[in-house]
Amino acid sequence: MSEELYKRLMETVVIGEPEDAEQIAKEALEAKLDPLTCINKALMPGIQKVGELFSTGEYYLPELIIGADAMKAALEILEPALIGGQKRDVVGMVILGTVEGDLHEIGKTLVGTMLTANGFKVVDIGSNQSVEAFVKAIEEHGADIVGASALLTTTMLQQKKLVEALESAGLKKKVKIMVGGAPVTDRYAQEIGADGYAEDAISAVDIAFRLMDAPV
Amino acid sequence: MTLTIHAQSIADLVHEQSVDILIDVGFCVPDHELLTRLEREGFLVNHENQMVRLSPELLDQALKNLPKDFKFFTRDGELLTKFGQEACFMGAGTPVNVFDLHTGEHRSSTRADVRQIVTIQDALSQVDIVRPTVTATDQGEFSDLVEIAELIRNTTKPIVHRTLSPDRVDAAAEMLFAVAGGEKEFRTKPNFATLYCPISPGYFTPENIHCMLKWAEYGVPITLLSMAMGGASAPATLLGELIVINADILAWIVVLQILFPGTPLLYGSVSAVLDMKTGLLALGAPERGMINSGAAIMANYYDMRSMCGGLSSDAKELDAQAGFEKVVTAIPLLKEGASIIYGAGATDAGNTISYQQLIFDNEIIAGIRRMWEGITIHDPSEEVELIKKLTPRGNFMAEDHTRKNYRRHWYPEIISRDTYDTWKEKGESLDQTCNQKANEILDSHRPARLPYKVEEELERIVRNYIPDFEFEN
Repeated sequence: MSEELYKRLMETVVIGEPEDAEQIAKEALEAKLDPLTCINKALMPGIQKVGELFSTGEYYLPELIIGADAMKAALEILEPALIGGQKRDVVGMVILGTVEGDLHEIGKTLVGTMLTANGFKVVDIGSNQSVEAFVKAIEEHGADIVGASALLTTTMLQQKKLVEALESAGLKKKVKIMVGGAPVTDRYAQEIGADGYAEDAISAVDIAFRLMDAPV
Repeated sequence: MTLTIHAQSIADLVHEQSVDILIDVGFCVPDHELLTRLEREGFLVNHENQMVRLSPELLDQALKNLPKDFKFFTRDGELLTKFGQEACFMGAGTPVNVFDLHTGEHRSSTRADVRQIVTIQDALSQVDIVRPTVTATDQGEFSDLVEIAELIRNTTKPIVHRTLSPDRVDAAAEMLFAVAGGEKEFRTKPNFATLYCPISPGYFTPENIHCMLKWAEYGVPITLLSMAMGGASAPATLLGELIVINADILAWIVVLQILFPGTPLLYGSVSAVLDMKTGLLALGAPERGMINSGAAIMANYYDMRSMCGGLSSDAKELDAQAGFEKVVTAIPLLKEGASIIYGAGATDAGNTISYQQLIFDNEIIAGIRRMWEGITIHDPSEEVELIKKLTPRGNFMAEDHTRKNYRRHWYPEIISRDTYDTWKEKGESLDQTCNQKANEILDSHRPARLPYKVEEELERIVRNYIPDFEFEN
């Protein structure tokens, strides 16, 4: 019975059915299954399978994102039900946002999804976020990594301001800074003193792992 | 321009569906003052979520107010006769990276690049409309004004650019009017159009809205330039994406024509689809030309002029990929009668400008323009007489008819038609040929200068923002 539920829950992630994932997660709790085991035996292998299918070229981004959405939907049911000291294994805590003056969100959200799918805990503070809002969120959540996105040639400067603000707040050594966005280059990231630059959401995961000094 | 039956069917469908969206859901106007103003004009305004809906009456009125005979002029007041008759080609823009002309290094673009690339566009035979093409990243936050000043100074061709913030529109307009001899003179013979992009679907930033309103007060032509991304900010089908593009543009045609009746507007799209393997925009994809040809169709449907992204490439060097993508993304735009094809000089998905690519794009444009003429029909009696005379086995080369007509064929400036041995002996790559040509132009071409007094006036205007600004000799 429980094995079958794990399998069905895993399938919702692989096939990408968020509504089913939520439903089956609820069924699992009703059946008194251990939420942490559900996460470890169904959701994690499910998202890993999605990742595999993506890297072999069978899945493209839409399948990957919907798979991750299914995982998130199940996590929202299972995580609050974790018992006592139980905790999901998290690679690192990431604050994500689009810089002030910039309302472009799609790329940043995609990075968030990819990081979540790879075991990071992501807090997305949204678009048009001031340097102060970034700093506040970093302190509040004890972030390991902050990711700042800019899609406009004019708002890239805000990324530089963020690096400077983290330096003066004495946070530069505690939190790793990742930058991205269409006009941003590796060269620019180095110039402004960011710790990492990724040209797309997939390489963002590799960079995040490297910044956490964790195995990819 | 008359639409084909197929284009007409697309246009009818897209118009009808986008109007439905604008009446049913509307679009977001994130500005309280403007919302109130629109409400007074009869728009259906929801102040809480800042959504604005159209009525069929407003739409009708706006389309009546829309000027139909928008013309483009040179700095010297000459009419750009091609505009509206056939496709005009325009420089790309405006990324922050360039491949250095001398070292090939991928670096941040500067004011010197703007000056040089504008100068080259001024010289190139096939570039009709000039953009700064790169951002002057060494000029800090007022780079837009520096770019406009260099653009005005270094080409006589019609120009297109924008300001980054509404408080600089006055300065930019002042520069344009200084050159034209006054605001009225500029309005009669505009040599400049601006452009602003919505965030699809249904949103414009407050900054861009205020820039547009200020330009509209001056009667300066505005391009509503959609940058929809199929599969991300618009549906994944081309028809669905075109409906988003049209709804975004139509919404602001109505706003601007109701608030400022008769403002010249261009219908623009530099849209594309997303590469779902990476999430990056596929600017060299066939779909790039296809979707923006839809914008050309819609512009023709509303009897407007269009600015369409094409002649694009994702390649990082002047290679076969670049050649393929440039042509594939331009042809659909020619087919559907785009007024401006926007992309000369761009590589790397529009993120980097290449001097060599700009030179080679001039060659590509010349070639596809020739191709677009097709086989013309005329009275062939002269040819038939000649054929009868020379059949069998005659030689046409020494005939007067040949001498009169062969030059209508296309003769490239860059492409090699050499034999293998000659080509080998020259030992020059396409990239090297283009590089040399760019250097030759920069060494020899001097754009026509403005009167000294006008230059001083431009410098004075920019100095209000950048105290030590001056033109180089």
